[in-house]
Parts: sequence; structure tokens; C-alpha cells
Amino acid sequence: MNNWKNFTKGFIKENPVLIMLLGCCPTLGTTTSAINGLSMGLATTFVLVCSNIVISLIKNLIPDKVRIPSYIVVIASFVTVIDLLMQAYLPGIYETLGLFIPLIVVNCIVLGRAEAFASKNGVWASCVDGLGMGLGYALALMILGAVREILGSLSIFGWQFIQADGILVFVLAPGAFFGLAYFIAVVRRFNK
Amino acid sequence: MAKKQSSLINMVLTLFVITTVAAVALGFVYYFTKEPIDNVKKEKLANALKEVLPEFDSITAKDKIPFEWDKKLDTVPVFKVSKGDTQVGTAVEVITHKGFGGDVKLLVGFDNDGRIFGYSVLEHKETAGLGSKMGTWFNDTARQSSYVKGRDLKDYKDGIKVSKDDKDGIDAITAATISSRAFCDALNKAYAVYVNTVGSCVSTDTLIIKDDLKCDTLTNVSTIRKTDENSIEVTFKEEGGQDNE
Repeated sequence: MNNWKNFTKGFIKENPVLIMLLGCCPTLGTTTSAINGLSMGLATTFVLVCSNIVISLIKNLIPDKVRIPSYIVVIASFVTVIDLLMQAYLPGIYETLGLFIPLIVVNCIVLGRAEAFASKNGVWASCVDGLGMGLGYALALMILGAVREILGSLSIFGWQFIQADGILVFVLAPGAFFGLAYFIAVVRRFNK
Repeated sequence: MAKKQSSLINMVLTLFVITTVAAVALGFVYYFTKEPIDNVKKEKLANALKEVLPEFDSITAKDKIPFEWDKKLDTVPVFKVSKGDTQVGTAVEVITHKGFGGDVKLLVGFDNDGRIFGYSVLEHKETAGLGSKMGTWFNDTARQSSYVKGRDLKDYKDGIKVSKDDKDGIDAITAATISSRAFCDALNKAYAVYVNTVGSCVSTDTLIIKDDLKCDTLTNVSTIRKTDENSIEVTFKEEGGQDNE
């Protein structure tokens, strides 16, 4: 029951992007299309789950004063792992996202969950928390990406449904701000 | 288990152990993904070559040609391919620094007559949905004003450029003029390298000379130098004589 709560809170109640406003930099940068947003979200989920598990395992072995550098080393290692794995097995997605993958290291969500949750809870709970937060993040990124793709290039998941040019601004960086702002507003309205 | 104390020795030891374990783990992952990553790169290049060149069965030459463009020295990979014993085309891999989001890497294929046979965008950081259309935009038969295949760049005196007029160049990608200009720059550079290495510099009257050209492929000509707007200077290798046109 408690685990279920841990898992679902990442989707709406404590959604990293929409409620906690964490990790906005990659959110704005990678959501030019639905598939990019989804891939970035899943890559972050992988890192979150792995780092949460490892950090909850070693939390008692790390002296308090060096816990942040230790967490960052763990997180950076997993980011490098997924960077290499994507280069090797998902070259297509790596081409568009490659630039943003190393930035997962400094994504506040990952360190935030390590500090706020994994360093205080057990392995299983941390794993569930990482998965929930990660998937919530991926979902938010995918929806934002889809909205920008629909409005900006009149396509969805790469499938063009009208042969015309969309509203250009939504493909560019300002469109990310517009999209995210309205998205947050809507979620806040229904979350009350 | 109680939390470890933050004594100096504890902190140093912990960080040392964590970084060591991380380094070893990453070493392993790197080792196991190195081969697939190299394969992906090779495969990508091989597919791109197939796309931009006429049907071929062997790559006869693969050189890195030093080439100067915009006053910067660059090494440009050139691939010459043949079917059976006859050479059927040449592909040039160029990088232009004029892209909207950074460098654009393009593979341009030329047939034996020096016409563009095809192109492939190998790497780019152009805006998604705008400049990123580069890969298909100039390859669409439905849009003749920006279709590059079959064009001979020697028809364009100052190089191909972005223009509404078919005679001067190609129509730009809607809302991505800078990316289109970068594309033209890459084509011009590729053509210059092609002319330089293949030695179709025989038809010097229509040649676009951006810089001094070295013609190793012509037996007795060593360099063709542009002296002013309308004349060039040809230096011969053996005789050492000069010929002004």
C-alpha cells in the first residue's frame, strides 16, 4: 500500500516537472517532439532507479560530509553507462538526444530524490520511488513534447497528419516556455 | 548499522572506494560497448555512401585530403567507389561551420560527370522541425526549385547559393534560411574538394576557384592559381613554365 503511494505520487501529486519544477532545463530543451521527450524521460528514469537503489544500499557507509560528492559520482557513472549504451544500441535516438544525456548528471530530480528519499529509505522503497518519479517525469515530457510537436510541426510521434507548416514558435525555445506554463496551469487547476 | 563518522580518514577512504568502483565499472561498460559503437558508426557511413552514390561494389580509395576553405585548413575524407573495374563516383565528407545550431556534417556524392548524385546529412544540430528538414528537403522531386540531385555545380559561377531563382541556386527550407545557406556552403566545399581530387579541373574556364588548387591528378599541372577576377595561372610540374589564360 505504502509502496503504491510511493509509486503513484510521482505522476501527479509530486510530479517532478509540473509540481516540484525540478529539471526544467532538459524539459525545455528536449521536448521538441513526443519521441524525444519520452526517450529523455526514460533515460532519466533509468538513472533515477539505478542511483536510488545504489544510494539506499550504501547510505550508511558514507560519512555525512562527503555524501553529495559520493552521490554525484554514483549518478554520473550511471549517466555515462546509459550514454554509452544508447550510442551502441539506440543510435537513432542518441543522435537527437546525445547532447542532453550528460546533463542528466546535473538534473535536480536525480540528486533531489537521492538526498530526499533514497538516503533515508530502504532499497525497495527507493527503487519504487525512482521508478514512479522517473515515469512521471517521462509522462510530463512526452505530453509536453506531443503538444509542441502537434502545434509546431503538425505531426505526432513523427507521423505528419497535415501536410503544412505548423506554428513555428512552438518548435523553438519560447514555445517550450509557453507549453510548460499552460501545462502547469492546467494541472494546478485540477490538482486542487 | 550506524552511520559512519565524518573523520578525515573515513571521508578519504569512502570517496576513494566509490570513485575506484565507479571507474572500474565504467571501464567494463566502455569495453563492452566499444565494438557496437564502432559498428554503428561504420554502418551509418556505409549506408550513407550507398545512398549518395550510384551502385558500387568496392571503395577504391579512401583518403583524408588536406583542404583549405574559408582560410581554415581541414582534412576532408574522400571516397572513390567503383563497380567492377570502372570508377562510378566520388563521395566527399565535409563539415561546414555555418549551421544555425553548430557544425553540419554532410556526405555529398558526385557521379563521373561531376553532377551531384545524392547527399546525406551525417551530423547536425539544427532546430528540430526547421533546419532538421535538411535531410529530405533538398531531396524531394516534388519541389524542383530546391532539388539538388543532378545539378552540376560548375553551372554556378560563385558557387550554389540560396535563391528564389533557379539559375542562381536552390530554394531555401521555409523558415530555415541559415541552415539552407550552411547546406549550400557544404555543397560548394564538397564540390571544390571533388574538383581538387578528381581532377576535372580540365574545364578551367567554368571552374569556381575559391582558393589555389593543387592538381595531382593531371600529369603535368601542379597548381592552378586564381590571379584576379577573370584569369588564372597554371603552373606546370615538369617544364616549370607558366601559362596565363
